[in-house]
Amino acid sequence: MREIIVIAIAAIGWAVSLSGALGILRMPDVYSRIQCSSKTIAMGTLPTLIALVVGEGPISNYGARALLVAALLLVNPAASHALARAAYKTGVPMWRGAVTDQVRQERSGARGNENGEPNEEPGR
Amino acid sequence: MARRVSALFCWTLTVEQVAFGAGVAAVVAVAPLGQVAGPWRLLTPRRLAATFVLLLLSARRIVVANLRLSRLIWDPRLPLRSGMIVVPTRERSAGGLTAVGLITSVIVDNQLVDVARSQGQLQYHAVEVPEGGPSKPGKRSMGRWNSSWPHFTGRSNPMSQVYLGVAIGEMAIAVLLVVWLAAGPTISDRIVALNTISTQAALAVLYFAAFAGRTIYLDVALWLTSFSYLGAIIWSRYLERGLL
Repeated sequence: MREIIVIAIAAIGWAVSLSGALGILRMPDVYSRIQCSSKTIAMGTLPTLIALVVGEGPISNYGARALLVAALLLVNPAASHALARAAYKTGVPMWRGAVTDQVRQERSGARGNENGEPNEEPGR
Repeated sequence: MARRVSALFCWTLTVEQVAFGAGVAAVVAVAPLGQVAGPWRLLTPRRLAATFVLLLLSARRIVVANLRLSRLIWDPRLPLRSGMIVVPTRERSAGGLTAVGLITSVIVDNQLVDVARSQGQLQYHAVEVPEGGPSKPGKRSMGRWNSSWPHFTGRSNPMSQVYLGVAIGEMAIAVLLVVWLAAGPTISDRIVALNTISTQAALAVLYFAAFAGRTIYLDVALWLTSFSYLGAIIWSRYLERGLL
């Protein structure tokens, strides 16, 4: 019974991780890839770790360590933010199909439109 | 001192270790670190309540956003409409901005790129997903998990085969990503791939430890996770400012 639950939860996590990895392979630019990687980390690893906690019990060595790793993973958005910011500041271009770049518009003075709708102007 | 540090690393839960941890925490609390938002700031009731509300509001969106992004990824046409978005905010304090940025970045639709603090703006990169995502998040398995929680007590390994299978599966994902590690057009691409690979590897090590019954491998997983996180941050600092 417990095996089935562990397999089910781990399979959910694995499927999310797999689609995240596939997303990293398929996405056209670095920003979209960063988002796919944070998807892998946030929703892919957490169920997998929960499965280990379920299988071994939260008090055991494995369970405690899995919870610690989960806590470390939860601060990972900070890392992906730093990465995205570094990429943007060093001028890594978005792909040609990107629909909007409001930061650049604002910097060049002319704010496109106020209500956040995408402009036709491509990002690069 | 050396004995205490070693006790800290080999996970024996003793009074001595707890006392040492409390001492370290006290030193960090009074140390002159300058203007930083310490985690203890969260303890004021108003902030705690606000953070809780933010987490609650995000919880559903996290699941939905993940399902939507999965659909987008697996769609052969890849209908991607990505872009940078500026979001105004009333929040000015460093701690508040950190909380908002971190929690909203767990929702995978958007990723915080930068903060213009003086103008009260958060700059996000967003993958704009077309309408009509699946509406039923997978909550049922969680309910089952909760209801059978009391029966789970730690025993030795009756299902090591399951653990081995999960470890191999995670490593397979990591192998997929080696492609981008080798061929990524920019350094940022490679860092993304490396970060994801090391996360998957940490998971695999964790499961392999459970399979082999060796608790010593668990610390490998722990260090791998923390160093992949620090590594990504240090690489991006280097990209942004050079060798300073």
